[in-house]
Parts: sequence; C-alpha cells; structure tokens
Amino acid sequence: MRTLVIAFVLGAMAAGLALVVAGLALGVTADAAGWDSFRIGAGAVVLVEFERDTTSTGTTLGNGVPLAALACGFLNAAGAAVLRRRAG
Amino acid sequence: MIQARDEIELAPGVRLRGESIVDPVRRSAVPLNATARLVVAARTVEGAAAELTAAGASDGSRDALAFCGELNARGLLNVRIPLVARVLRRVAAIRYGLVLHAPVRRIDVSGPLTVAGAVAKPAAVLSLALLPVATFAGVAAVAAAVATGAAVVLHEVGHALALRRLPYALLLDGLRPELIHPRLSGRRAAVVAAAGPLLPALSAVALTLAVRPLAPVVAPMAAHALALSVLADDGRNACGLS
Repeated sequence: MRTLVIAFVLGAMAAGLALVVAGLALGVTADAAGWDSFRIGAGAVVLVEFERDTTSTGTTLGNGVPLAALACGFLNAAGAAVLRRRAG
Repeated sequence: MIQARDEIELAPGVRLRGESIVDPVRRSAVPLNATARLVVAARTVEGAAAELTAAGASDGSRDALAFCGELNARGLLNVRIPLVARVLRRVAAIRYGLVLHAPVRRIDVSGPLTVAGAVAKPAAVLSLALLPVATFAGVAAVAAAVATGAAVVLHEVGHALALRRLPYALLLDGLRPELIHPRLSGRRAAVVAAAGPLLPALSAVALTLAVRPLAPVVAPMAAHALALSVLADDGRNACGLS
C-alpha cells in the first residue's frame, strides 16, 4: 500500500509541476509570438487558456491541471502496481 | 572503447583488502581469485593481459579486456584514455556505423559543491551540444539550452543534499551522471530518490512564479519532475521498486 501511495503522490506532483510551468511557458510564448486567444481543454475541463484583447494578454491555468495531476497520480500508482506484481 | 594500452586503476575510494575489492560507498566486497588479483594489480590493460598469459590464459588480451570492462561497468575500476585517443577511436568507429561508449568514470566527491563541480562539465557539454539548434530558435532557446545543463547539475545536487552523512561517489557514464551510495530503504530511500528531480523542478516553478517571462527558459528544468514517475529510475527507487 505504501508503494502505491508514494507512486500516486509522486505521479501527481510530477504532472502538476510540469503542467504548471508548461502552461505558463505556453502563455509567455503565445504573448511574445502574437498568437490569438486559445484554450486547451475538453468541455468544462480547461488546462490552459490564453486571452488576448486590445490592451493586454492573460494566461489562466484551469481546473484541468489538478485533474490531470490526479489522473497521472493514478496512472503512476497503477504502473507501480504492475511493476511490483512483475517483481513478485 | 577500451583498448590494450589504456591505463587502469582502482576507482577512487575503492580498496584492495585481502582477497576482495572493497567498495566503502556501496558497503560491498567483491571476492577476487588469484587471476583477478593479477589484473587489478596491473597498470595497463596490456600489462594485465601479459600477466594472464603468463598465468596460462589462452587469450590473455581478451580476458583482460573483458574483466576490466566488467569492473569498469561496476564503477570499481577507472580506465584512463587520453582525449585525443578517445576522439580518434570514436571517429574510427563511426566509419563503420558504430557509436562507441566511453568507459564509466568514478569520481570521489565530498559534498554537494564538489558534485556540482564534477557534474558541471558533462552538463556544459550537453548545453553546448544543444546550442547549434537553439541558436536558430532565438535567445530564449539558447537560455533554455543553458538551463538544460543547469538542471542536470541541480538534479545531482538534490540527491547529494539528501544523502547528507552518507558516503557517496559520482559515476559518469558518458554525459549521464549518477550518484552511488549504500543501499537505502524506507523513507530515506524515497527522500534521496525524489530530491534529485524535485530540486530542478521546484526551482523552475519558483523562478516562473517570480519572473513569469522566464517560464519557457526554465521549462527543461521543470521536465525533471517527470523523473518522479515509475518510468524513471528515480521514481522506481522512491517507490521502493528496485
């Protein structure tokens, strides 16, 4: 059980940290490159949203980031379970 | 990569004690028979081959190369190959479509600062290798290439900080650094394994939150967080899966 909990926490942290920086990096790049407004997500789940209006730009990390982090945590725990079973 | 005239020596910190090679960092001892002791006592691979041949080996050179290669792979024996010879061997091998693997080099490190100094060289080579492509993509990409190298240094420093009060040594396998240490278990193993990926990743987050335009530059540092997954050695070690 301990292995699975650690794997879940680390998987969630890995995805969360990477997504936060990647999302903000995307926003900075979009701002510098003059991209139009865009949104990455599916339905009500939004990973990152970039908005440009006449005077300013803004990047918003959406509810998709914690959800994706949780999903990656579960995936990592599942991977750990498979590895542990293989190891016997 | 290893050839007959290369110099060999026990890796720093590794000792011959009685009939064993003792590795105080891993807290292990590898027993040696009389023939193996002849190889370890030699100064070059061809010297070891001569000793083996004199001891009755049918192909002393092959045996000496194989044994030195095995000890080198375990980080117990360093092989000295001058830079020019290394380059010439690589070039010669590339003509046949082969990419030669440099021998593992073990370095004695006394603390996080010496780890940073030792890892800085391969990290700088990594950054320099990325520069030609990054230069075409602009200043931010050049800075990201530098951050890629810095992240490697931070990663190993993270492990070193978590290994406080434990013996450890640095293995350089080409451009890939690795800290070796006594076998750990439980919480300490998890902390040591996770500290490496976490230091560059958390530094990237902190830098991004402090100076938002730095986000694309420090993205390679944040990517180290992915080493926390079970797809990577650190992630598996943290979960006690290795």
